[in-house]
Amino acid sequence: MKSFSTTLPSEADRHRLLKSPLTGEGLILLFEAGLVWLTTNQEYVNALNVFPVPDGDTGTNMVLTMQAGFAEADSKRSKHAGDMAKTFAHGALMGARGNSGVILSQIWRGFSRALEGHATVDAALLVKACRARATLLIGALFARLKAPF
Amino acid sequence: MTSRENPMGKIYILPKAIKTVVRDAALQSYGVIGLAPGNVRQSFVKMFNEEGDYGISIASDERGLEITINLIVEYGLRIKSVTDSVAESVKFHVEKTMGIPVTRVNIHVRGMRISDED
Repeated sequence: MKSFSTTLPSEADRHRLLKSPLTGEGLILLFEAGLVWLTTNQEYVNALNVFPVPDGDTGTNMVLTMQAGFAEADSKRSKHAGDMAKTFAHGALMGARGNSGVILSQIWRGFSRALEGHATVDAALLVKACRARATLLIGALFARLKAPF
Repeated sequence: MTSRENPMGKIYILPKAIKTVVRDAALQSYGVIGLAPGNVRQSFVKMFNEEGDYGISIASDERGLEITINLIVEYGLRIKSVTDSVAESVKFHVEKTMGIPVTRVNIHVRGMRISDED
C-alpha cells in the first residue's frame, strides 16, 4: 500500500531547514508528512463517508490522490518552492479519484497558484496560500449556484 | 417505461420520474455545473422550461436501464474523475430509490465552464 519512502532529514538538515525559509525540499517533506498522516487516519476518514455514495472510500480516494501528487513531486524534485507546489498540484489533479479526490486536487491547485513564482515560502505567504486555496475551493463548490444554465 | 409485477398489480415507473433522480444525483457531484440539452427536442424543452427534463435520456430493457447524461463540467478538473464519480453516484441513487438495476451510464460532456477569472 505504501508506495512512498520516508525520507526523514538528518539532525543537521533538520536544524538547517528550521532556521531558513521553506524551500522546495522543505515543502516536499511537508507534503510527505501530510500523506503519511492521512494514510494513518485513512480508515477514520473512510468511516466518515456518507455522501453522495456511502461506499466508504473517501479516505482511500484522498490517499490515492495525495500519493499521485507526491509521486510526481518526488520524481521532479526542485529547490524552488513554487515549482514544487505546482508539480505536486499537477500530480494530484491527474491522479484525482472520486469526489473527495477532485476536491482535494482543487485545494492543491489553489495552494500552488498562490506560491507561483516564489522560490521560498515564509509564514505570511503560507497563510496567503492557505487562504487562496480555501477561496478557490468555495468558488468552485458554489459555481453551480451562480451558473446561468 | 419500466414495469414490475407485484401480487396486487403492476407498478409502472415512467422515465420522467427516473430523470428526476438522475438529475439530482448528477448535480450533487463536485465539478458538475449543469446539464445540457442532448438533442433538438431537448433544446426546445430547455428554451421554454429551465427546470425541464433536458439532458437525460433513458432506455430500458429486461436487464435494466441505460442512462445517458449530457453534462457541462467545471474547467480545470480532470474530466475522467468527475464523470466517474457522476456515473457512480447516478447508478447508486437510481438503484437505491427505484430498485431497478442500471446496466450502463453514458456521459457526454457537452461543454465546460471557467468559473474563476484569474
